[in-house]
Amino acid sequence: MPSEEDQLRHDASSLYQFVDSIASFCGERSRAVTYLHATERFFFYVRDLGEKTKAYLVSFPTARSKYLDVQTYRRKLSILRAAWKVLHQFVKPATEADTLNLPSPLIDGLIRRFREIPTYSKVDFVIFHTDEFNYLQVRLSKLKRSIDRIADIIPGASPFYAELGLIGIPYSQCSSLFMNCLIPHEMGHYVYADQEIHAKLLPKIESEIKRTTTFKAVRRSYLIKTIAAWAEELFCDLFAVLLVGPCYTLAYVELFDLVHALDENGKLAAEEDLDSLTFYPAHPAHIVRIKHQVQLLDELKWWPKTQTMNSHYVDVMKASLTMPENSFKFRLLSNMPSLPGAKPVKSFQVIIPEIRKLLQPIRTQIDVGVGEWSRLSKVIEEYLANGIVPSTLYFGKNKKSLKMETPGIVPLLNASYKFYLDSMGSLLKRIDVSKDGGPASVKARSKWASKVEEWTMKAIEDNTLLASQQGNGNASSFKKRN
Amino acid sequence: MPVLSRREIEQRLAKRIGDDDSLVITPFLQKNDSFDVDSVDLRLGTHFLMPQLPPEPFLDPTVEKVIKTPYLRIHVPLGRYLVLPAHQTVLGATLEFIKLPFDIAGEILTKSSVARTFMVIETAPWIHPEYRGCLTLEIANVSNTPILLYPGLPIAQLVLLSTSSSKPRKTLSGTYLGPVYPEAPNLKRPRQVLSAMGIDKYRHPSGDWRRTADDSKFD
Repeated sequence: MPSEEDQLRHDASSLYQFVDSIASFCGERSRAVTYLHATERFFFYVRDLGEKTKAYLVSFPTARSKYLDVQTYRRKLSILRAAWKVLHQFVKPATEADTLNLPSPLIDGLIRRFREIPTYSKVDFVIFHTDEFNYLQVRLSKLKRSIDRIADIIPGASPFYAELGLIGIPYSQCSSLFMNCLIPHEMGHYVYADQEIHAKLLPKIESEIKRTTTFKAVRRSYLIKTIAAWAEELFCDLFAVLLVGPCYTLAYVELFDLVHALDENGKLAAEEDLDSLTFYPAHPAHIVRIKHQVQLLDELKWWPKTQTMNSHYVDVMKASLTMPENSFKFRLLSNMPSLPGAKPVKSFQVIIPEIRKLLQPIRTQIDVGVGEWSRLSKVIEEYLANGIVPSTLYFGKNKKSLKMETPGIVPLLNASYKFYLDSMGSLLKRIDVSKDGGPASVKARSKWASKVEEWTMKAIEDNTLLASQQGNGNASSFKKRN
Repeated sequence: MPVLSRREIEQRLAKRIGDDDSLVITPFLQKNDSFDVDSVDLRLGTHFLMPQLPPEPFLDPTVEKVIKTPYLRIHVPLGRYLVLPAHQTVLGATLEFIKLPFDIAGEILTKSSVARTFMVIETAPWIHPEYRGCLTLEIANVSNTPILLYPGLPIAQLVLLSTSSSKPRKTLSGTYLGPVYPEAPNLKRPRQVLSAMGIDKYRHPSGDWRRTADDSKFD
């Protein structure tokens, strides 16, 4: 058996190789392609942490003999390895999300929009690819904990950037505009953690469960955890609506394929097993989420115009409002103790006003953009119908009243989504699509829907440039309410 | 075919999009510096298609895939540069998206200061009325020195010329419509073109003679 010293030397060198492979992976990739600013910072951080970890490992055994006994050093190696394993899972997906494999102008625009909330004026997001067909936000607490563990051991290691979030998007959506309107929900998770909403909601949830059930501790704790998870999802939905408006809800309907919940009359089919009416441990029923989004859209004055859209997506939104509260079921995971389905759902409904109250401070800090959208939506759609990037708009009834305006990201996204859903026909009529099978063909519609996404993305990118030139942070007519 | 003056260009720019004679140039940055008396400067965009060694020893217009694959997509954000080696080429695009009126044609020229570095930015300079899109630039460094391409720098001049007999078209057509990135060539396949001309056989790159009508072997 090798000596303890030899064993440690082996373990340290094995960890050195592991850390080196991650750190150099970051370095090599980032030189070959370009990344968003936050991703570059992330790579820089990992490389720097890697170099410092390697330097620490190289100093073995001198450092060890001076300061540490074998067991302590072994424990430190183990902590380092575990922490680097956590980092390991984010590096590769982040390297895949270079600027050619992301809707970069959209993400850049969404980050700028997020930063309009004064509290978050410096926050940035690293975007990475996931192989799941869903969007996710990394719970930074776990990542930070791991990094802090490294920093505790490695001399000179800096703590992880305080104002950096990590968001995963499905790799297949790397060039999509519309589907990525879901990203603001993931930004909502950042806010949820940062504002400690969980801690603020927990007493309410606990007292509600205590009031309505007589369960023992295990069941009660499970229910509290479940309702807290539902609350977080709904908070993030409502945050997303606040940030970007109805385009979030439309993308939500698309992601979860909710149009299939409609019957032939455009009503929600009240079947017992309908997935969209079911609460799961990780999230509330889709239709409940849609319903509360629509209610907020109504309060924010988006809904009157949104509901006039000629789209089956909007039919889902309308139908959600008509669904009675007792239509929803709660499906437990099979290994959980049985619980009555209605009670948790009712308790959750009691919590919803609290969730909305906690959103209020953010609501007062930004203009939701509905005014600008009302003013510019038709003009943006006219530009798209003519196959033109809507970044500099000229509009007015006649020459004398002609105005020029640069639309912000909120009106651009919402007008473009509306155009995509109810006006693609007008564009296809304008273009000779006979080679693609005519205006009724799926191929032609798909090709030109992608073009609409590209034009909108280009308009968002142009908006950034025009804003930089004007030096006011945003070329749109947004004004912060203060 | 008179060339439009700055005043005429500005008048066209300030028209509603529904007007057939409206002109669009967007984003129009540093407007005052971009105008000359009879032209507008256009900037280099951030996306490129870099030619690579094709999988075949020649560019074969009979196979669509072969034409598209030899290009490497590159994104160079503003503030960075792309090195264009001596005697090399790259496809780029203008930063500006343009839409020409129904009665105006355009010509894109290398800016004289750029041309003096022995860089050519366009070899198919004519733009038809009603064209819309970012213009693909066939950039060639014909000098003996590598050149750095910085996206955002003015690289081309757009000259607009009125055409007397045009009428607005009801439908838009064209091989390249509405692009915002440089586009790879979309060559017409020789077989169909020759067939339409009444030529009954053609030499396929494999060495065979083939029928233009159905691509079968010609014995």
